[in-house]
Amino acid sequence: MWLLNFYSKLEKNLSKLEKILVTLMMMIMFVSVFIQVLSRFFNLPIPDTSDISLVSFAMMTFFGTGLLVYTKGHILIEITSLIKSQKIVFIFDVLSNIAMLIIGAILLNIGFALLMYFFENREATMALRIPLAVPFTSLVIGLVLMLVHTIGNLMVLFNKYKTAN
Amino acid sequence: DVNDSADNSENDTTEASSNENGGEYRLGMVAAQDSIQHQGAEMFAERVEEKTNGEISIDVFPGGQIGSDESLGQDLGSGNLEFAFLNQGSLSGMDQMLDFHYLPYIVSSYEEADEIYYGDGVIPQTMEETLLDNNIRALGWYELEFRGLSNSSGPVENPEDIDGLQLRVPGSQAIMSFFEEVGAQTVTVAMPELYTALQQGTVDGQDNGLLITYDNNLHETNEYYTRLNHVFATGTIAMSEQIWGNSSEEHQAALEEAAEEAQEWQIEAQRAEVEEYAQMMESEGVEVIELDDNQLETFQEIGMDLWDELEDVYGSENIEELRNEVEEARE
Amino acid sequence: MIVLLLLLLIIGVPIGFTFALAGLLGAWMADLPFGMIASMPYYAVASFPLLAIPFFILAGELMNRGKLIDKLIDLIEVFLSWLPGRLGHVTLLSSAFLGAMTGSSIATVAAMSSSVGPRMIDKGYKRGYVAALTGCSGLLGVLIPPSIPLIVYGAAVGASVSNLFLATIVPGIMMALIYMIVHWLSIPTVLTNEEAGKMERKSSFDKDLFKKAPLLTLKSLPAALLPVIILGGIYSGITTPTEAAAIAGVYALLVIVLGRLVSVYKIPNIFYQASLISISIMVIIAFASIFNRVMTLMQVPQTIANFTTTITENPLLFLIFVNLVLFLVGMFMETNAAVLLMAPLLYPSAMNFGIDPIHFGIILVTNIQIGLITPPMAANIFVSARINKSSLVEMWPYIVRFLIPSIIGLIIITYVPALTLWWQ
Ligand code: NA
Ligand code: NA
Repeated sequence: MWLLNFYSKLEKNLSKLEKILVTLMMMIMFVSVFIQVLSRFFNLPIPDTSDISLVSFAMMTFFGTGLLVYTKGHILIEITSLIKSQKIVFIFDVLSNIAMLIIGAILLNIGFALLMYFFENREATMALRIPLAVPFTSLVIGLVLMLVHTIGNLMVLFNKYKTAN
Repeated sequence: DVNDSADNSENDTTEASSNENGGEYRLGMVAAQDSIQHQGAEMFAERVEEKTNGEISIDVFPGGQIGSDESLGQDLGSGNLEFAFLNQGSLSGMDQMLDFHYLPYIVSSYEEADEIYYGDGVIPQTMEETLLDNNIRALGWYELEFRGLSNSSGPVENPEDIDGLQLRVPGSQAIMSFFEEVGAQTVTVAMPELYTALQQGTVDGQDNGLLITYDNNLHETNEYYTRLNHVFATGTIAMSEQIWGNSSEEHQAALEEAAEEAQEWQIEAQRAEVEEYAQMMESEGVEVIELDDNQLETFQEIGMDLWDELEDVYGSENIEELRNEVEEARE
Repeated sequence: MIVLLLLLLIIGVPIGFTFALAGLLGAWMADLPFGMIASMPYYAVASFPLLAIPFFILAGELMNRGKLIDKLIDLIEVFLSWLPGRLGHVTLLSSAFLGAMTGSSIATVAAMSSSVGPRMIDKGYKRGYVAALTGCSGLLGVLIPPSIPLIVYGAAVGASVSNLFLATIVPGIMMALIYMIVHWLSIPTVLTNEEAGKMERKSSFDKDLFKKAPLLTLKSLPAALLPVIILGGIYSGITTPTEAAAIAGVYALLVIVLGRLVSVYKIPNIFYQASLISISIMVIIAFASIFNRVMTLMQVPQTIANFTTTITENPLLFLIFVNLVLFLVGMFMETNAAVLLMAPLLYPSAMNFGIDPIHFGIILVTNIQIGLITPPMAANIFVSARINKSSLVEMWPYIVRFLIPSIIGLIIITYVPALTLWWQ
């Protein structure tokens, strides 16, 4: 029980951090595109900021990959909502979470290899030379968070099932 | 079992790349299906297959089907892809030297291009070395085209005609500086949005070559096209260095021969195609303007003056060497 | 691969990851290097045209919180009080116009669902129907110029984009009319029997209501200006569609802050809510791209296209096969990627059969667009379900009502070339 409490507290604090991150990325995207319009309209000598918009767009998506597991915000086909048997719903939920763990682990594995590659050859975006390691770090972090929250979901599921019976 | 599948993936890559007996390889490219570049790539694939008695077979994926130049470059470098017809000029994110050949007015005729871009001068040499630093082997080159300028406001023959135009330019610092120097306002617009931007007057013109301009229908909204020849570019018949290193000597020789033959055919076909496109464009009501030597020279001086400003990026030695080569070629 | 995909979807694995795993499994079976597909999610998301999606969602969230949309719809209702089911028609036509401006089906659905969706539910429409209607009408706009998929087609095969735009006008209007008829026929079954639903069903000429019109017009002015800003920005050439979406956001932000409609402290939370919705959409685009890439590497679409072009010598039969193939591809792939891949593959044989290149483009794009509302990969429907807080299960019966007429529309477009080539 203490483990469950500890874990849910950890997840809660993590999710707060994730919330700040995605909001921040959204704001950066918004401001950088707006600057772009202003600089074109008023002919200002500002460099092309679209690299910033695109990198923060990707980072928001990747950080959010984990957060959406916590907020149950991922888009899926809710066939379970048609099923009456609690037991089958439980089994489906467990299986889908396990599937998520597997997918997350595989993606993390190849994502990490790719990140190492970008660290090594220091590739960057063309206009502003933002290292590609930056968005790929967020991919790896997002996938780790996804695993953390999926494990949390599984713990909650089993605990609920135990108390229900 | 999670770890198992991940391990498998690693084994797969090493297995595929350590195959000395050849195998089924892939070639990626951004140029459109049935373009001269694509035909050149198919020819390269055929020749390789012939010369290796079918030990190496190559599937060609045109039209960016398996990624942009950026990601093709990464895949070659990491050994995940065997071949590409690679526009190394779009890889300045990987290494800034890779768009060295975009400096304005390095050459302005095919005769000069043959000497500077295809021999053993500083451009092909730096390209080869830089690519190799990134684990990409240059087997040969293919030709893109001279860039020109299309616009909707009037015929461009002198630098003054460009003054005040809003132009869409690619991400290259050199090209941007050139047009700003002659008084244009440069704007970055993504290629898919360019047609709409020209149609609605967000920008007045753009600076692609005849083929790209026509194939993307940009001439529909820009009735003036000047063969400004401000930038000439080649692409690389590229191979993953990892795969190259693991190939047998016979295969390596076959690959080099095939690349040479594809290069020779592609350059000639490309040049013929460009002239055909100039005529097609004229027959569709576009005024295609050829500059005379004096007019070209005026632009050339402006362009070459900019080289010094880019010493930080490309190195003063390289620029000095290029200047010498160019002067020699023009004599 | 396909079996695994369906299984995962049934047990409730999020759609983006389902496609990712199916793709990875395919890659593993076909012995493709994993490294080659690992960077796909980044390149799929880092795309400027897609940036319009979060911005339109943000603008919609801001306008809703500031109750700006409510005022605009109040006004429209005064003028349309004679029309039963008015709000549905408004949604359809607005989608067509917004889609015409943005050129993006998904961005249109995002914008309409976050602005008009809640209001339709208030007016007594069933949630599932609202989500189905906004999701499906997203594809109308792409048939009204300018349209990004048509530009992509023009570039891929070298057809004139101006002619494509001319050719799509009649089919675009036809599809909009078909949808309006579907909505009109649906009115008896999709409105609740509560007061709001009865009002929406009623047709009335209320003179008192018209007296309120000037005041309402004034109140709705800030909201009414928003479409003007977006339209004006794009057509005057000051902005690209993505930038117009960002300006819409800035404008909505200024109106609600300066008009003190929402406390400044609540703004970050609005950004957060908008980002959550955007992420759920982008995750699908990011991770499903792995599946797309693996299909391409395995040459699945290429093989099907080759098969199609060798199977018959009758042009009508050929078009039926093309319809089926594109429908299948559209079921799994993102629109622009599908156009870019399939257009060059099918174009040469279409020319051999003597089909007009412009006509073929309209067939191809319409066909792939319908794929956007066809599961399992139905981007428009996912987006609409998410923003309208509905579910695919709840929406499905209503989606069918739009899907079948859409297919009939497609058949008409395919076999009556005069509809697209009227201007010749
Ligand atoms: Na449109
Ligand atoms: Na679909």
